Amino acid sequence: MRDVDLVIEAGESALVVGGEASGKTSLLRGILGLVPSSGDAVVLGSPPGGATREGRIGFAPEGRPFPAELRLEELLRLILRLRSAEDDGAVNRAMELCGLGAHKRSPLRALDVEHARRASLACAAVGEPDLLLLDDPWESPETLAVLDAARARGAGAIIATAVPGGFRSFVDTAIELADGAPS
Amino acid sequence: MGTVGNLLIADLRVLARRRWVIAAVLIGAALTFAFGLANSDADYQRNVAAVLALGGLAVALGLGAPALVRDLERGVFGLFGGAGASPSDIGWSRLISRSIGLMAILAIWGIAAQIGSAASGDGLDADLGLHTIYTAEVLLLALLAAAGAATLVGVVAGAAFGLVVIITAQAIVNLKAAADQGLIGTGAAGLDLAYWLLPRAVVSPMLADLQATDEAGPVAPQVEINGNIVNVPSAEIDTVLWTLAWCGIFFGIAVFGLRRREL
Repeated sequence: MRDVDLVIEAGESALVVGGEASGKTSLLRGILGLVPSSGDAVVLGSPPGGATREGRIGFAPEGRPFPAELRLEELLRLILRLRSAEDDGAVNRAMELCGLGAHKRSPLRALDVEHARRASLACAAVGEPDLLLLDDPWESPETLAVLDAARARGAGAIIATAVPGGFRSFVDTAIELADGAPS
Repeated sequence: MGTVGNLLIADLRVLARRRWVIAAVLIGAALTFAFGLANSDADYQRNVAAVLALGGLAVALGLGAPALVRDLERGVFGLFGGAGASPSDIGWSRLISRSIGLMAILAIWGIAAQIGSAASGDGLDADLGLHTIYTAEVLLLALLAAAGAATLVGVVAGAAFGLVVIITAQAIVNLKAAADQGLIGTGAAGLDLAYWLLPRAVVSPMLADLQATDEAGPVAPQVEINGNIVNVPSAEIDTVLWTLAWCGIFFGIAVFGLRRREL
């Protein structure tokens, strides 16, 4: 990634649009502090990685990078604990919001593609973090519900996608990427 | 509970549900129990030692080599990192959970053997119990060596490295015993150096006794040099501690290897 200049105010949402290998995921990983970065970057008042360690960011990765043998409920509880957040019903709320209530005890390997995408969404939503990072989410009622809930509580969101579709009407700003740079 | 503890418990859950791990536990326990029931003393100890060593080695490499690489490549560690876990947290938790998993499996196999022995009327076997602990240390070395190497060279090569470490550790001990008996002339100085630098196999008193009478089977065939039988002694405390130190070194290499990669 290079030459990215992006300002998202607290509570705002942004769309990062680009094709395959355009740098969308790298940008999200940079915001999380998972990859080295240079330049001036501030995420929720801290350098990249700071807000992640404080448990203030919810990350929905692309695909299904889950420990297949864990149950959905166990994964979400783990994510919550890694974020040092309290489970005062947060796991159940996230599952309901993402339409996963019936799959609470399902092993993650048993989820079909659609429910796996929802599980990823629930990983971001659980604990109601201050910023959501959604990597290639489906434009589904569940995703929109999670974004609605985030907006209602004043949380921001960054959505990385190749197909912006209905997300455009949802965000305050957008950036297009190609070959690791704004296009 | 901290980040390491939470990740550790999650990985133990995963291991307890993984099919090949369950199969290994059941098959190993059935074998050691059956050997305990059916055999005379020497056969019983030899056969159980074979299950512990060979089956245990397969389990150690199967748990160790992919421990830090598979889930890194699948993005699972990225998910954990995105929730606030650091590479060190992930490395520590994963290596500890895999080590606990290995110890638990060996303990189950060892206990099954003891139950078999007791059920056959021979009572509990303290020598075998001690041997199980010695074997666990050697296999822990294999697990950590494989995990460390895998972060640098990949899963298959990591497992191969773990195997080479175990073979080398046993060869060093055998050759040192031969040198101490005056069966090796030239190169003894180099051998001494290797003995003091490299990890060593931890030979239990039971295995040393079985090997001396050529009853140890494939786990520890009798060593001969120019027609002279080499008596490989059981490990002293310095070897036990030295090999533990090497476990620590491989643990450190594995955590370092994960930290130098992006989650």
